[in-house]
Amino acid sequence: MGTTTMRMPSSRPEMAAVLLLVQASVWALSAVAALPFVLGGEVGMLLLAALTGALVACALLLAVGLASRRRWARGWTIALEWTCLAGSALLMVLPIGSPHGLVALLVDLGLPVALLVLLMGRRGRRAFREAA
Amino acid sequence: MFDLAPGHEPGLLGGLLAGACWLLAVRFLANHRFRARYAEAPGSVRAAALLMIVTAGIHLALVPHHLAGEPVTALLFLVNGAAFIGVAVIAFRAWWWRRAAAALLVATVLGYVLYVAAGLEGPDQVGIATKLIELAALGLALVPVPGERRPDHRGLRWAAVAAAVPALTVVSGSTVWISDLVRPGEAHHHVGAVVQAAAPIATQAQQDAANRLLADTTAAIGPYRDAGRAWSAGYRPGPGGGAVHWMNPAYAKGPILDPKHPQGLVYVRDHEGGWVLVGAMFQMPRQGAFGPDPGGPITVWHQHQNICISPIGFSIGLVSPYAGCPFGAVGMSFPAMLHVWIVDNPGGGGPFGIDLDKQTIRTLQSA
Repeated sequence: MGTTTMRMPSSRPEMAAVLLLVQASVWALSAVAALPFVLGGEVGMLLLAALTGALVACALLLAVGLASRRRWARGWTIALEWTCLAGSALLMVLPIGSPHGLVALLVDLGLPVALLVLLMGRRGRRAFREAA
Repeated sequence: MFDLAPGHEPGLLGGLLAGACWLLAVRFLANHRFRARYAEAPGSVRAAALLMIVTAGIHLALVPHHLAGEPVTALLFLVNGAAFIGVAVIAFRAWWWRRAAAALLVATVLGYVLYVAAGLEGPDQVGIATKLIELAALGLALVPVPGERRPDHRGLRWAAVAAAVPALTVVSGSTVWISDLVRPGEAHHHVGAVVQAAAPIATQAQQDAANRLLADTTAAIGPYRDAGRAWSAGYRPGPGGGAVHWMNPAYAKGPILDPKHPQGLVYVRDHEGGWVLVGAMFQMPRQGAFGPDPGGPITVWHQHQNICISPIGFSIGLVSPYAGCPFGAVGMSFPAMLHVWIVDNPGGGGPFGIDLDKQTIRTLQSA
């Protein structure tokens, strides 16, 4: 039979936590992928991999906060996603040949937009107020 | 992996159409009982079902393309698409749907990984995007949400989400990447560079033309052995060590392949800080077009695509299959270029090689 009840709290925080986890996983792959270039002599990539690792750790912390319905996590995630969106939009506009493929659209625009839709607005705010 | 594989375009349309049809069917065609259950279901369940329908649409739309040449793949796509539709429907009818969805999604991602690793499928944007959708669907299917009728195994489900999504992302991304590097397409010559297509063997006329280009370029850039003259002519050193490119913005728009006006000069810095001229670089005004190749296969142009470049120490890497660069680097592509090396370049492919021999660089640096 069905797995749900008639009236229930919103699942937006959990959905946002999952999408943030997907985003953090994609960033983690970028950090891991930088390491072979460090072995190849690109020592600067080690610093970038460490920075990306720190970003992944922050995103995971935010995901835990979202799943726990913490308001601070919502606020910081919104700020993070707006920053990602602004950076991605800038890279799309600049004529530097940054990736504009389907995957780039999903990761750089789709995920941040989906997270912002889940977290912003009245329903997003209410989902976190319910817990408080 | 940054392109759409030929014949995979219908997959995009199939995914979009399937998603739209699902939403319309739930709204207008489903019976009252199903609609009621759908309306009661948490957003995570509805989203997981929608994503599974999208991936089903993608797989089903690819069946006709694979049917003639790869019937087994076509059959797998057909079964997989049907299974995803079935699981999306039972998400609103059966309590065990999460197990079925998780098993199907993990099997699909791992199946793709095996296919790519075995060389049965070349990674492309449709395949990688579908994996991303499936990873999100997996997380949304497993995540425990408040108010479920059967709120069992919540801790286990959170652990499964936290372990499976990152692990499958890294495994699928790494496999796709390694496969792409190990089995590059015909146009790919080395990491991050697409090479101009050319006949396998040069004719005598092409050989003569290549020799002429080398001689003309060597003579024309001779005065720039004095780096001061290069500076006066408008060339400015770029970042990085090793073979440092000095670019002249005045020639960014042309002329094309003019030995007297190369877009760049390449120097190596010796241990006393002096600049040793090692070659010239010709570059096209914009991306997407290769330049004239008078020497045929000897003078092929190359184009660096999807390179991660960071201003921090001018580090270079490659954009990951999930279109990511490490934090602090940006993905870039460059117009096609052709190097002409006026020093010996045995390990770098000769006078028109893509790279300068690392041993040559080290020798010049220590000179």
